[in-house]
Amino acid sequence: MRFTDKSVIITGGGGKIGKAYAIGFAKEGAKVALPDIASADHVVKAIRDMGGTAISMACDVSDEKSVRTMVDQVAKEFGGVDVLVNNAAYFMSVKKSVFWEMAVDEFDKAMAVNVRGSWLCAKAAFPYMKQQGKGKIINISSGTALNGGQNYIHYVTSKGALIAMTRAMAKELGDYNICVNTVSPGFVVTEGRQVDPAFNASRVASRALKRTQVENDLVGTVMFLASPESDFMTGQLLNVDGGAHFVG
Amino acid sequence: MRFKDKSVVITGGGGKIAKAYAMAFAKEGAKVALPDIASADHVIKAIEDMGGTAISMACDVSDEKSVKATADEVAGSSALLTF
Repeated sequence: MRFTDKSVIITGGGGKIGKAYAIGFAKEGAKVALPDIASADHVVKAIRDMGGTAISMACDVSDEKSVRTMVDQVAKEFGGVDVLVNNAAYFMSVKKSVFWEMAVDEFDKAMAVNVRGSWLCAKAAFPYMKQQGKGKIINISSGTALNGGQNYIHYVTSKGALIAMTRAMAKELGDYNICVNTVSPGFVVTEGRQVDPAFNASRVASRALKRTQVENDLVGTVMFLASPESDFMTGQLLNVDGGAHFVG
Repeated sequence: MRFKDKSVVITGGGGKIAKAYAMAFAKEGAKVALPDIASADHVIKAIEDMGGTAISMACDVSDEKSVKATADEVAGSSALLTF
């Protein structure tokens, strides 16, 4: 039980990847908070059914007041904030187009949720981590930031920004013993997700490990970065995509 | 015990960093093999003293014959060879 009684926030906790992280942490004893703009009640139920501790709450990560309220609630209920996983993202419903035809509002939405949202959550969690003398922040980027995915420049750019933001935060948070790292997943076929089989086959073929990536492929790496085993790692990018890209 | 009964080879196993790896794997249940051109016996003793399983052998990793003999010895002494 590597996370007994640790307070872990997973933004976007109602999504399928967020659920995989949440179940992983709960199995290791963590108290899991799952803020989401949609409902995460089904994940809370799954965790409680297995004897774990979880809460969820409505939260728009792009809104500072909403984020502050959420983090304060988690800290009050769980006695602090040990781990923040910035998983919430504007992704599944993005409007795709070539960049020269993209609307400003669409571009700004990706920045507001993916970049500003991650910053706001870290900003709100910082005082609690500072008070504890320790903390872990994991920002979820994307392999699209490494390969320049086409026709959603706002998403790709926002995910690239998270890699840079991680490094800047790491420099500023080192004196507080707070580690900040990035995980970049590849093309994840979550349970029930309808994907173009030809596209997924092309992703699989691009990998050293030639199989479909699923949400559980990410869990171990995120938990490693949240655990004391990575206490001397900060500002780093760990790419989890079956060896499609080689970083570093 | 995340590495219960896994067979783990740590080359240069007599050194100080390798000792840290070896102790951590042993604490998680692994059977640890520590080939080294120098002696790794002090690490073996430390692991055995805490109830773990470890073996060491002389090995020059730059020499194929020496490496193959080590791999064969490890595989022969464990159910599973995991590099």
